[in-house]
Amino acid sequence: MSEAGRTNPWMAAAIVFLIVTIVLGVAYVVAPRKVTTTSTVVSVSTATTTSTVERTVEKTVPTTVTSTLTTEVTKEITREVTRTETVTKTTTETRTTTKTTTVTETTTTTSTITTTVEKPKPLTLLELAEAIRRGEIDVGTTYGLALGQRFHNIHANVLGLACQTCHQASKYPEDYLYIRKYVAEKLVEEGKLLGVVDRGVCIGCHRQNSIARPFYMPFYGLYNVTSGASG
Amino acid sequence: MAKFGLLIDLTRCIGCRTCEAACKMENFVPPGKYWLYVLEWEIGNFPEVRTVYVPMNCMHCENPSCMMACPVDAIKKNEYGVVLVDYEKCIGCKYCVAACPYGAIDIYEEKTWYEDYKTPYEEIPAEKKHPLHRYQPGKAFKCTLCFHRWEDAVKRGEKPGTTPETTPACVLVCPTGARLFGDLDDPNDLINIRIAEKRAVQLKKEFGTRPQVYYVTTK
Ligand code: HEC
Ligand code: HEC
Repeated sequence: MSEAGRTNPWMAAAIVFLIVTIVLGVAYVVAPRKVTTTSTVVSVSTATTTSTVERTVEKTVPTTVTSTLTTEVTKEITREVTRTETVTKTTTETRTTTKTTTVTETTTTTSTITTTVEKPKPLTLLELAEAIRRGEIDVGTTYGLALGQRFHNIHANVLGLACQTCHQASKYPEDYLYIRKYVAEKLVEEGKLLGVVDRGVCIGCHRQNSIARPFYMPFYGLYNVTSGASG
Repeated sequence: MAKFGLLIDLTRCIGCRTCEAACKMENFVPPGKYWLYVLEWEIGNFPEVRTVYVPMNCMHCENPSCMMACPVDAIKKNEYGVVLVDYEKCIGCKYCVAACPYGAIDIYEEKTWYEDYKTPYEEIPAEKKHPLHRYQPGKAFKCTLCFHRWEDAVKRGEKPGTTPETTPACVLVCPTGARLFGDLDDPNDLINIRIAEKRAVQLKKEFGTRPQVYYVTTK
């Protein structure tokens, strides 16, 4: 019986094979499926659009200022504050299409806004004053106090000081120590009395080391008293 | 170096305006214009009321703002500290008028005292006058500290203000001795002694013009 009792090696091999197949089959069915999608690029398109818009920005000068100015001065000031701006907008759009149903769309929008002012206006009062001194701003060539001559062109038109900034009161105070009171108080413009000018308003800008050309010197402690007499 | 100036004692001034009149006569100042003007106003409450008189003329500043403002260099400060206008160079732009904080400078206009005739005084021809009195219409003119009166003396080395002839007209005529003329550079000059003693002050120091006219304001 040894023959019959002995296991047939082919049989055993077949069983082992069967078991292995079953295990593998089960494993195959049970294992999670990793789905990967490979997409093929079909087309890539990039579109860039640039548009330039010109617009005119107008600022209105407050009526408190214009009401005190002559028409000519008002026109001049309006021209000063009217300026043209150029706005450039660039849009870049990249579109990528793939074969699969999954579509990846990337849109990048870049906008660059550049503002260029046609007539650059100096930024500070000092720069403005220097530009006047260099003759870069047209203030006329006639030295004089009459309207239309350099003095009022500079202060009223270019610096935009309102008339009342300087022509403050109809009369000097009684104790205002000023010899020309007798003429200054008769100053008239178009028949109406023009305010007198307290020269104190000039100090700030016309003091040495200020913005405009110096007429007045710093007083307190900034120079040597040469004579024994000091006030 | 000399530096002539004035000391005006407001506690002595009685507001008679003789200085004003003398200045006009001496310097042919036309009607309606003044080189020297006496300001006056009232202070206090009844019954303690009084009038303040402040005679003012060109301060002959050490830092003359009129000179700084002049675009043609027509205003100069001479070696005696006197600020003078050059009528030939002046273009009549009035910048000096605008810049002077004391209102000391004005524009000359030809005007006679009477409409129909000129007084013999007004008939004096320009060539007979001192160059400082040969004004031109439309151009600046102002107090000269009567430089024409003491110019020769000072050039000869004499001390101006020691004789009537070399003293400014306004100082000479003051009935109360409220005006004093002298050399601010000379420590021994009476003007400096009085300035120190009376604590005299300059007007409108904030402009930094350093006037050579001092005022006594308190007793
Ligand atoms: C920077 C200060 C300033 C401003 C701003 C100014 N003025 Fe004047 N103006 C003066 C001074 C100083 C004078 C001389 C006054 C005097 O004689 O005492 C003057 C004189 C005048 C005169 C007389 C001119 C002459 O020939 O003598 C007129 C008219 C005048 N101003 C009008 C105006 C008007 C109108 C404006 C506004 C548009 C104006 N001013 C703005 C300072 C100013
Ligand atoms: C806001 C500042 C400002 C004030 C206040 C001012 N000025 Fe001026 N002034 C200027 C500037 C800026 C200029 C032109 C630049 C320069 O000449 O330095 C000028 C120029 C001038 C000039 C020369 C004009 C020319 O033809 O070149 C004179 C004279 C003058 N000012 C006088 C005055 C007087 C007098 C006052 C007072 C009533 C005054 N300014 C007040 C800023 C000012």
